[in-house]
Amino acid sequence: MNDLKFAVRQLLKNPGFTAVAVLTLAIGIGASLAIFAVVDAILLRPLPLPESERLVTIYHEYAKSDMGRMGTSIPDLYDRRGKIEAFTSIGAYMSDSVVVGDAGAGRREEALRVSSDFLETVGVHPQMGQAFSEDQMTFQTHHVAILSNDYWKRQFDADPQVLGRRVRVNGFDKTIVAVLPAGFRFLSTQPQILLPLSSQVDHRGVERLHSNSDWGMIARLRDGATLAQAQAQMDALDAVIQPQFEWAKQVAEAGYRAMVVPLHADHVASIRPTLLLLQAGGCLLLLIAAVNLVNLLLVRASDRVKELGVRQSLGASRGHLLRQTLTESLMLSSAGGLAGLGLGAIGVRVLRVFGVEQLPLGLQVTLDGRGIVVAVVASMVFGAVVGLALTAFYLRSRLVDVLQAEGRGSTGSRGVQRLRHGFVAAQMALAFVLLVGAGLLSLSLKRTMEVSPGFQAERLLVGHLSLIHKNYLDGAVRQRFIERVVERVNALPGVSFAGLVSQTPVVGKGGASDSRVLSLLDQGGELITPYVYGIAGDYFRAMGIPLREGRYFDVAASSRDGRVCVVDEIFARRHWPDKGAVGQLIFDGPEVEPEEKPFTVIGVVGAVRQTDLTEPSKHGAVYFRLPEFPNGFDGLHLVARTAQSPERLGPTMVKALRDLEPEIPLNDVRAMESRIADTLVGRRSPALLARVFALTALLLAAVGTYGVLGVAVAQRRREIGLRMALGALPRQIGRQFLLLGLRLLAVGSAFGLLGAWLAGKAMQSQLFDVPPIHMATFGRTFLLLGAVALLACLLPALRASRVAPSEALRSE
Amino acid sequence: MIKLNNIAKRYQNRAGFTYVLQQINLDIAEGDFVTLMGPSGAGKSTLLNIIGMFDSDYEGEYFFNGQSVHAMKPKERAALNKEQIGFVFQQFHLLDDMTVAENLELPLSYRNLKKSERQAIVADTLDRFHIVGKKDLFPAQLSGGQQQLVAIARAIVAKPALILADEPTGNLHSDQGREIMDLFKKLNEGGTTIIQVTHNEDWAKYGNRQIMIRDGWMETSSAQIAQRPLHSSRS
Repeated sequence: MNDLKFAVRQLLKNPGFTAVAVLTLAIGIGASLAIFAVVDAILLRPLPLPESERLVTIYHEYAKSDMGRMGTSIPDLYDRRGKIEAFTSIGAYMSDSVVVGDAGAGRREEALRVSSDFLETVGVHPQMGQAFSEDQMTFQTHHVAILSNDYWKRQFDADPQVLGRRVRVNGFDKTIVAVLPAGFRFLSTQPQILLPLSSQVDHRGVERLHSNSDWGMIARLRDGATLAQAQAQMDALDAVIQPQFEWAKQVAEAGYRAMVVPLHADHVASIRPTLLLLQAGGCLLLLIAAVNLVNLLLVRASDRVKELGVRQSLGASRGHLLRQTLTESLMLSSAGGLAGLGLGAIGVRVLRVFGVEQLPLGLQVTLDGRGIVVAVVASMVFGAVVGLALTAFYLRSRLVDVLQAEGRGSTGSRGVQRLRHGFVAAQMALAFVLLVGAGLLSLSLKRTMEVSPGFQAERLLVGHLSLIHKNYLDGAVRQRFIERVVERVNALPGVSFAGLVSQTPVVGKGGASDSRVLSLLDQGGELITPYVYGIAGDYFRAMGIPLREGRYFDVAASSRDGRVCVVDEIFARRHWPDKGAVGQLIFDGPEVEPEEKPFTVIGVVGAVRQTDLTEPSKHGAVYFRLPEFPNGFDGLHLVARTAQSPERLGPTMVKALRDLEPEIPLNDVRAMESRIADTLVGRRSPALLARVFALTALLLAAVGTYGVLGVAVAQRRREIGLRMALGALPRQIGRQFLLLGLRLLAVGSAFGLLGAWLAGKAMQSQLFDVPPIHMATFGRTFLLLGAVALLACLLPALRASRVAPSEALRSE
Repeated sequence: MIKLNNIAKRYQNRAGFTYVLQQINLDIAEGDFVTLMGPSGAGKSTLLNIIGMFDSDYEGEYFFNGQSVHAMKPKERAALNKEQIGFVFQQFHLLDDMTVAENLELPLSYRNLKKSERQAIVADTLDRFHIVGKKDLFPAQLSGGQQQLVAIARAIVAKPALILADEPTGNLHSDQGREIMDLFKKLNEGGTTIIQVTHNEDWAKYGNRQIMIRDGWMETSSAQIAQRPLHSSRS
């Protein structure tokens, strides 16, 4: 009889055991695999660009200011190009979305504005045509476009003569000069169209440094050059260039430095700790599953010692036993691995529902060959290790004892029992750690969601308008259009207030700028960087931002308001702590020019969270009317407070705007609450996943406890019968097993407490307003684990108390 | 065939050593049918396990067909066991998950025989034991006597020179026991050496030699009688 046939028969003989074992392993492997697919795609796999390990990004750090990290500006590209020996090339880019097509029939597409050497820097050559040239990088000459392979196939039927044809972008005709190779992706974007990152030639001098710093900059390291060399050369170049800047002193005081960091690592830096945390959770779950499975196999091994002994007595060598045990364990682990692959694939889909695609490089998340190989190898290794361990377990039993033993109870030695009990306690400890981890993350999410954004997010609809269009380059035309938009939306039934804003708080990227407060000028010194907003219409009322002092902008007679601004309470408190802010004067920019007119503060409003619910701004915010907004704008967000569900109003608002101006569609129309929910994906997904892991771990721990106690009862049936025959009461017998379960719980919880404390410390950076040791969470976890463990103990204990002495003694 | 010189087996405990076998000197010739008798705990099964090479932890010398079993490495001992000995247990020890035919094939599968050869031998054995009709049944579907019949068939399927039977009829009623003993007699007449352990005097008479063991000492044998000392066996 071959081993395979017998192994199959063994597994089919105990369908309950087989199902639990396979499912246990599948859950462990599936969970780890799904998380590994994310970690692999985001952290481990190189960027899909040639020799991507040589790509770096350059960003500007203002360590001592509220701005933190910023992009680069136009002059940086021209100052640095060809001057840093460690780089073979430097490129700049800016993500954008553009309307492609004719008026009324245009589609919004993802676009990337790139400098002339961008494609050379990322190492991508067009499939046909040529990359942009430097002389196409001005507003006068930038009427060219490069199509993605997908867009070329989709919109131009893969026309081989496409070069030289026209494509209409934001109302402008562009000449197609190249088509990209298939599958081109840059970081988390998959642009359909590339446009020149154009600028005015006279804006490329040092006087424009540190303004409009929203360009991303990348460079390719020369072969053999190191990051440290590149950083040193960058510092040296800045030491020459920066002093030429008009406000060099203030910039230096703000802690400016141009940082050179690996592109991939930088792009995923924000999500890295979360992913590692989740991978640790997945590994813990796999460990629990493995421990559970080993325990189940040990239980079964105890029952099978005699069978293996008989085989030995019939001539089976150690090799024969090893082969048979390995066949069985490998078959079981392969089945678990295969089921784990299935669960892993489902897990990846579930992760997509959890918003994994919104993470950096999240679009790349798939269960590919690497993940499959890892799962198969892991399950094989597990099967082999378990098979070897079980063979050793079988062989350590003395054949004479095994063959002479009357019942199976004789094979459950104290050592094996202790090992099984230890495994159950270990499972409980690991489950405790996962439960506490999930509890802390959930509490952190809850506290984040409880943070008020500073405005009323409910019943607020937000859409995006892009004014980069040939018909709207003139300021006066734009202003008229803005007024008409506000008027039209305000007139829609169900809209109570409507307004426009250059950036929405919390969900936008925020626009930190530098403003100077006139009354503090004499004290001098500090560079302040409040967030600045350009607004129109009844923005404050639409958002529900409360008025603290003075008044809002006059909507009805806006033209008479003149050069005025509204500040938030943080800004007001910081600069005029002892007197009212209304009537105070502020200037834009770090220096006050003699001829510059100040803005008069007419009101103080409540503070809103700027970039994230968890990070209050230190320097507050200043609101300008759009015509006077010093930063300029090309895109605007339309906000409307609605009487009904905001989603229902969306189509009406889109249609109203289309009727008004078909060339400028309203895009990305969604409720503010849904947008805020999106910003929490980095907290919500780990919290949800951790909960899933923790509950699975709890289930596995319960199965483990039940299994071990159940076996203990079965193996000690004769002893129980004897005790009862000698006068023990059923409740005394039941209590004996309950106490065993509680002892395991106590030991598991003690180690779990220690593990949870360490896990809490490791998770600290991921927690908002939650300490690593949160006694209430620890307490709740103990109660939950205790209740589940008690339930798992109860059934075996009841079974023990119902053993009939006569039957138990006769059965042996 | 078998020669035991001064075989002793002892266990260590807090008080010193407890001997379960002492000064066992025994010669068994090829074709013998030996019965080991004695009260429970006398050391009969221990002696059988030593002869069956399942137990190597003893003092003294054990020769099997002139080969020094006591000096052999475990692998050599296992090989000799596989080649020469078949074992019949009181609890039958059939594998529950295998059919009768598969149980019979099991010892052969450990002996490097081709599948066709194995099947031929199994078919022959099934026929010889008149259990062809039961070949596809599982042990649980057989009576106790039928199970022991299969166990004996399994013990001889690899054609061992020696069969060791530890209370082979202990779990059977008398009619079934008699059938099994008749079978042993027939095997012995066919040339197989048999050593059985039994408490039943009627079954003991099937053998040509009876050996009585008490407190680890061999008291009587048709071949040899050991003197029992007056003092305790503990040292």
